[in-house]
Amino acid sequence: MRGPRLARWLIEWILPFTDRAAALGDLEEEFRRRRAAGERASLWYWRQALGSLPHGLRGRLPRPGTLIADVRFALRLWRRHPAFAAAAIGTQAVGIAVTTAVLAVAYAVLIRPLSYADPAQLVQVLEGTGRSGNLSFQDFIDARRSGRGFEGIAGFSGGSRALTVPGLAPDRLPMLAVTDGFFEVLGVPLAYGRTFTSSDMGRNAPPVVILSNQTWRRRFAADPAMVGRYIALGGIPHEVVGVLPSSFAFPLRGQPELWLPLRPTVQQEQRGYMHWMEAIARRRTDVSVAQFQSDLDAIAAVISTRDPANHRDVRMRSLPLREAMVRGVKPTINALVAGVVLVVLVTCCTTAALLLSRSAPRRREMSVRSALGASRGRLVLQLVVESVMLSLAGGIVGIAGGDWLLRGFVAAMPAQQRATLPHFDDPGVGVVIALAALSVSLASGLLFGIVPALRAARMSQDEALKGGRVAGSVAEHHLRSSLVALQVAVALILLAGAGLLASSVYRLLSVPTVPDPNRIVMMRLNLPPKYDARGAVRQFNQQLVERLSAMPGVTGAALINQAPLSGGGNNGDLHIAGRPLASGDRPPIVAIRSVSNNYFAVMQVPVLRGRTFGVTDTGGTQAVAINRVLAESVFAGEDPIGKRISFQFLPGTWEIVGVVGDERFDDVDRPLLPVVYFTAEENGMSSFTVILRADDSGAAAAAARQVIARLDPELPVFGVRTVDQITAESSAVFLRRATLWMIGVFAIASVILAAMGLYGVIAQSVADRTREIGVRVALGATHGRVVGLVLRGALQAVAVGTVLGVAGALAASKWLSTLVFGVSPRDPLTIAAAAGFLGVVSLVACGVPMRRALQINPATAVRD
Amino acid sequence: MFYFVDYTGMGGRQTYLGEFEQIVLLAVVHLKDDAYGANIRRQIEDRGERAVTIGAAYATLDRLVDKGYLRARDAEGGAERGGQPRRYFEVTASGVVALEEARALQSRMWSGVQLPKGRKA
Repeated sequence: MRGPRLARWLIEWILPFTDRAAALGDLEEEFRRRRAAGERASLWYWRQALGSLPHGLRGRLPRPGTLIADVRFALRLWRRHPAFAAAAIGTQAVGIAVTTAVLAVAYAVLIRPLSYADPAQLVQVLEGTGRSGNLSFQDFIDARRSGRGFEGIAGFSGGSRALTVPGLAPDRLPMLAVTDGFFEVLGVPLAYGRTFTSSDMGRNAPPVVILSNQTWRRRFAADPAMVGRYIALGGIPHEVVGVLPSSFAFPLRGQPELWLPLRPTVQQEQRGYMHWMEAIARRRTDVSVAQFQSDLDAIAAVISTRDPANHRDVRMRSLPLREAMVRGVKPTINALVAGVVLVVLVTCCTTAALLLSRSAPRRREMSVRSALGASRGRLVLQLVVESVMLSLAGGIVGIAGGDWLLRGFVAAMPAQQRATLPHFDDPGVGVVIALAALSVSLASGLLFGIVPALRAARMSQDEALKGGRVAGSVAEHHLRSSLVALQVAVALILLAGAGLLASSVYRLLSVPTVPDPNRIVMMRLNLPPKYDARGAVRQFNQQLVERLSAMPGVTGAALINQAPLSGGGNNGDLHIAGRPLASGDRPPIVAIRSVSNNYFAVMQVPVLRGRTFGVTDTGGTQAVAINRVLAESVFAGEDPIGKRISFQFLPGTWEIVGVVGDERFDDVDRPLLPVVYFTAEENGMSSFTVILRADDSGAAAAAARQVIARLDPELPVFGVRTVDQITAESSAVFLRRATLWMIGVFAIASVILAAMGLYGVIAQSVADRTREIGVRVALGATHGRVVGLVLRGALQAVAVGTVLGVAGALAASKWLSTLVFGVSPRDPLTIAAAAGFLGVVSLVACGVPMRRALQINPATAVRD
Repeated sequence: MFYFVDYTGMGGRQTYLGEFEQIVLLAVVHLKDDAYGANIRRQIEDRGERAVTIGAAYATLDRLVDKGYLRARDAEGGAERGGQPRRYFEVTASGVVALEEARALQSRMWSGVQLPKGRKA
């Protein structure tokens, strides 16, 4: 019946030697008394022990003078061994630089509060379970009227407007149309002017606009008197009623330059099947997430009662606003954070190995100090101070490097990607991240400084005082070999990851997009309201196609309302004449595209069956073409030609006249969509993409601008892109490429560090065994035996590291599973290639010290 | 070479007792012949109504011994203490003087004091 062993041990450690026995006796006595009285004696004992801790520590902490002396001593050592100091600081700096950069990215994207009032209450409100979650206008009105769980809800819808400034070329600016209350829901006060009110929402209300701060600065010279002035958008004067603050961003929809009141068209307002707008809301603080969901369920019930035809079983859900913004990049961030942990592990191993390599030559120094009366704790403290100083210096250099890395990374991002992430407009390492990185650095310095320090201080005095060269001990060699094994393992994991990402990016970039993509250039046009008469639009379309096709060097020009790879576009429910839906079945959802008649020829989309549109398809023949995906999914096993289909939003039925090859309308990592093509020949299109096929796409784009300017000098041409550019800028490619860059850098750094570690181990082993090798050679050992002697340990380390690394790479595959495309995350070929590459690097790293071992002259080796 | 020289307790007029030092000294006085570690700690907890850890108690007891206010004597401990010795403390003459001075200082400071009405916590 004695006090808890650990607490007793703690008391023994805390109290000065002279008081120990008496105090333990006192505690024991009271412990027994309390236990006999049925009290919780162990708890009491623990309280005594822990409560005594401050008194015990007071006498044990080093005096400030000692610490300063240790710091000075460490600085002197750096001066004496600059190469060692540079290697240790540099290694640490590499680890901390990547840590800093990745932490800063993760912090900005996942943690740093959004710059709205009380951002945790903000949600995006989504309808249905699909990817878009868009609402129809009446759904939004229902939600706003009947919702009880939010303080406010606001809708928005993106687009663009042509800005014409006298004397300048017309420009197309990204725009977001928002309902009244939008800025109030976000809790953002304007820098100048006012927000939109309900009276701005009427279809015939005077045109007004709010400018983003960047636009106000860049295009209007930050003139505070802009409020109240008029700017021409799409040829119509709009009064500037407000300017947003510079801190405002809305990454959910990129970086709109113009903010307009959301004024639905008559169709948008009345047609229940048009789900075209999005919504955000501010959840009331006294409403839990579950209550909020039941409020949304109530709204869904209201919507499906009002409009059952379009909203059978409709569901409403919400996503925290930040989640809605960042869910696409989360896998990337996770992979990067995992990568950083691995890199820090490698740099810690390298630092520990470097410190170990210094400990052998310093044994004499330690022994002398110890002989002169330095306690073991004193020696450990000094060595720990040294390693902490190294890691601090490395940490500071690393934070500066991380800041540089981060800025470079953000600068290299496509602007459209940068605009969709929170806090990415102003990259840079803040105080929080700098402190976090410094803590990581300090912690790793302590952790990996203390092992070599304890080892170095444990040495017996006489061993080293005996004189002569001090060889590294066997235990130390084992420790260094284990470090190398760990480094090889981590390097292998990172290499495999980088390999998988590289092959994913390669596969994504070689996904077939459109036939013969490198000769296609696209550009977008939006005809302003002055073309509103249908005839004018059609005439412009025809003239445009004729003149562009006639340009020298251009083999064809065609129009489509939503270009391939753009990701957007209209969808609709497809009904097939004579095939009623079974109850409970939903009609297939198809993408709907309008094209000029020559589109398929210019795009080189093959006609698989039937025909495409011709001049006869005017005057109400109502012909459509479908793509192969639709033909094979909806019309599996039958001939679609001649079948009649209908859509809710169009009167009449449409006859399928042809089946064409598949084009990729969505991002390259997403499945192909079923598509119905309409001809735009009869009605024309006011908003469309021009497709040009030309040998020199750059020259063709420039010439096309001139042709368009001659047709209408006020019409801005925007979004000029080749197919390759569109693919490269897509999120699918960007996310993998960004991850690949970072993981690739991590992998290269860790391979170099692992090679350095291996080199160090072998060099040390050769140096330690010079005399032994000399004797062996003198006794007739062959080169092969010498090589075997020196390499055995190193190769064992590499082998163990490879086995661990393969296991680690297999285990780590789940971190990459969402990012990997077209290849298994456990692809044996990639992992084997990484292992093979590391093997080659290992052999090279072994080569140099091996040569030295073979050149050992037995005579000098034995004599020295 | 450094010399760490401790000037406290080297004669001359002593500084006044700290509050906790006073409490510990008084506990020893109260306990008379029974003043050993565990009892002193308990005495302070019971009479002084404040929790004291063993570490704090011994740190102060050691300091009072160093200052010459207490004398310590180790005696055999019984089985109830796991065989550990019992350390008894006794107030020295200068300890008595220090306590008296502390009380005199207190009464000088308190004489004629009328506190403004405070709010009870």
